[in-house]
Amino acid sequence: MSALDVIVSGTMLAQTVRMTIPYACASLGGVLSERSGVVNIALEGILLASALAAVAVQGVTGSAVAGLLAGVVAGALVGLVHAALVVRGRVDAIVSGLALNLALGGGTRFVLRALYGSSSNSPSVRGVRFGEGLGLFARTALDPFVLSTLAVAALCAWGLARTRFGLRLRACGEDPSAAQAVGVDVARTRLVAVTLGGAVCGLGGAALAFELHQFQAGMTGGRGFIALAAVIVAGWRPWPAVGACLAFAALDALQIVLQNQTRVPAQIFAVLPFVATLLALAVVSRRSAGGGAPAGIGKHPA
Amino acid sequence: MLLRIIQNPARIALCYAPVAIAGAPKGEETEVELARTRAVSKRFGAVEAVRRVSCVFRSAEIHAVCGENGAGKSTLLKLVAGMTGPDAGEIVVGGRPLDPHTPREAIRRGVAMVLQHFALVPAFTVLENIVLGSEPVGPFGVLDRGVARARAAAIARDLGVKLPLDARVEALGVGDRQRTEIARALFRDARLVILDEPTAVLTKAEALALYVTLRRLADGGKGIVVVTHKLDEVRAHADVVSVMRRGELVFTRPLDRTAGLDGQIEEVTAAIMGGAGRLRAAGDGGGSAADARSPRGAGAGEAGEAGVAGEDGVAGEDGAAGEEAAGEAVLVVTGVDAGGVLADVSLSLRAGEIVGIAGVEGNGQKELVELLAGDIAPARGTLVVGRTAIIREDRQSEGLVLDASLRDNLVLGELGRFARRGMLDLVALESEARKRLERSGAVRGPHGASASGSPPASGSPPASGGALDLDRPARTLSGGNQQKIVVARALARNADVVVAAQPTRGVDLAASLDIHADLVAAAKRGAGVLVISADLDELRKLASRIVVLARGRIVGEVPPTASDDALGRLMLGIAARADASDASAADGTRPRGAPP
Repeated sequence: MSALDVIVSGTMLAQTVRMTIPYACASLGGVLSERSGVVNIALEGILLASALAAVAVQGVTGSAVAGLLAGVVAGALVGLVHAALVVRGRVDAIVSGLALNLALGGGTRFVLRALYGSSSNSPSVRGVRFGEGLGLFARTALDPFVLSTLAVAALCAWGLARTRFGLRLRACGEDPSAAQAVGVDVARTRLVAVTLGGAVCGLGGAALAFELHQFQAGMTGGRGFIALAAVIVAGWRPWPAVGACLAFAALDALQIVLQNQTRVPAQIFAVLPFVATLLALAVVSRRSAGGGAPAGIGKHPA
Repeated sequence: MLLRIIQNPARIALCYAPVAIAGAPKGEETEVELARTRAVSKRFGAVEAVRRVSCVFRSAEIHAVCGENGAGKSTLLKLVAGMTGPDAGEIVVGGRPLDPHTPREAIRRGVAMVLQHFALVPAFTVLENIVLGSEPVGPFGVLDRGVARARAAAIARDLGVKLPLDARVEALGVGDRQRTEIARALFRDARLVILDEPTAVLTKAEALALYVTLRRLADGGKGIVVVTHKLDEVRAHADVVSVMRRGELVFTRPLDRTAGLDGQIEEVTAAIMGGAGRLRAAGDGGGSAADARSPRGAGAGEAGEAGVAGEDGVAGEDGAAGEEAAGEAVLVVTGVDAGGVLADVSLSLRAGEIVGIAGVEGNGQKELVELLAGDIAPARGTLVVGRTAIIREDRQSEGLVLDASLRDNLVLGELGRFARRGMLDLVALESEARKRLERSGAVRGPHGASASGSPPASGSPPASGGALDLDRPARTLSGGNQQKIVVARALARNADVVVAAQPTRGVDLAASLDIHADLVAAAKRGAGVLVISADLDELRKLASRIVVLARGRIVGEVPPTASDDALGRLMLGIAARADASDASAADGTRPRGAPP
């Protein structure tokens, strides 16, 4: 089979969709966090922590649902820590995010070693088995992670626009002083928003781990940062963020195929998603109007 | 300035009509106490912003709170609105002490504040801003947009205004933003609406419309508190006047509209001015501090009157100075089109002369400043100009780096002067900044009073006394003092042309007088001064001739003695020049709420 045949195949499309999920969940988490005014570069660390939690809990309980919940809860907890540091402790969000990424990068390795005595990967877990009897299309379209990611995206978009919490969340992100002046509890709103964002991102971490059926040290490979780029490219809007993630995931899937199908050194293709991210950001950052960053990002109420 | 406003019968009749009718039948029995402070104090660092103030705010009245910049009036009302907590004393809202001291609690008890710098979310629509914080919701916190819209529309109707509910606030002018703020206060059933300097950013027509709205609310039983330093507004619209000076409440009394107002307003002026606080560089030490503590002492009254007389004296001098001057031209604009707004503008300015530019806002003033500042180039025509110093309209975003020190702000843009081979001469910079700060008269706050009393000796010791603190961030100064810094910096350049755009907007009376004196001094020194202002009285006082700008064109030039009516006609472009080609452009520049 030539490389081109593989690229246009249904398998490749299904692969792309599945690979989108960690990106999409992380970027939806980023949207929630940043629309409330808290920069979240800790997405990478959240993905790692939740992936490990999902694998560890499924390993112990044997339940995919318990593993999934563990991933979500782990993500929420890291989000809560980030929010507490930034909102209550007034730590700079970049510093806090960087610290969390470093701590969780090392921490997950440490736990991996402590639990399984390995510095590279966990024993394999079952993950989520679904749709064995179904065709490729149905299996992909009805995948629980795909469906839940779509549901979360829809909920984010609708919630931000149409609910009281969404309105207040956006107000905190656009102008925290104004929000506070009308009686919105900015600190609480941001705590909830960033924690929710962490939970959504945690869903992505669990999906990533179950896709590979194990935890590997550093398995996120920069997905959290690419998701953050997707947030920016998408102008901090949920659906466009999912779209941007789909594009990045397609490149990711493509580079895997090209690595396997051609004789060109693998590293050259491995940088594809990152180069694309760079280009997309370069183009988007020149865009002057429309879909800009929330104006109150990184600001505290007066 | 003041007296002239008061003596204009036409305007008073206009302002007065609703007051006279509506204000009279309000008896004591209909007025309910909505909020009161009891010996409340608040300090910021070394400055006691509010000191043991007890004040009552009632329903169905317009209560004006006056005072100079930094007198503590905004702080007092922020305390009432729960935006900051007191250090001592008690704030009673709705019959109980306010606790906790949060805006949310104050709003819950019916107190809402409209801040000077509006607390609206720019990216939100008007409707979103109105409902934010007290959203009507259905199950699961889902916004009930139908109810929100219906209530907002009803409030706009009650206010007698049109509100573009679906427009984003960032696209609106200040008048609409303010109406949005007021609508928001009413949306949450506020019974006491506090407005901080509400007319500082409005044109006269808009200000008048605002007071009509406020009177409507007061007649409907709302309590209205207006923080202002415009005494003509106090005179025309207030039912009760309170005066703050140096953190203390020195005067609070209803205005008796059946008796002569002149005397009452003079008392208010006297209370605002206090003792000898007016005279720059002259000592305002112990004596005035004592005055401040005796509520409306007899001595204060006298000093105030003297102050008013002095003010007129200055005005007289200015006029004379303007007429005598006949230096060479320092600015010649010939047939310039620029910025898509200015059309065929011709203007000349001579050394030693002060020329005023009048016009309804948005008729090319901004572009004229940009043209003279070199921000935009003329598309047509010629511009010959000497060295120019600009005092920008928006001091907070264009005039100052708010978080930088006063030192840095005072020499901003002139670092070249202090650089030697790429190294800054910090000693020279420090001494120049100090000189400018002293000359600006900006840092004479409550704790600086004694230090600035004596004229600064050369080689005075470094600011260990803390009076002239060059390290202080510009943000910590009040608006008037910030403006003094901007003016001092602009004038220190000894430019040939000084362009002052709205130099005293949002600035208290005393600071305004100082700034006017500075501009007059610059003209005496030989600079040509161009004052662009929405305040006709300011232009009349300073300028030897007034040029009127309407729809980007110069539509006339009048002497400062021209009547309000004549100027108003020119400003609205009613006189002659409304040709058909201008009609489309006019839509965008027409003043909102302008009287027919």
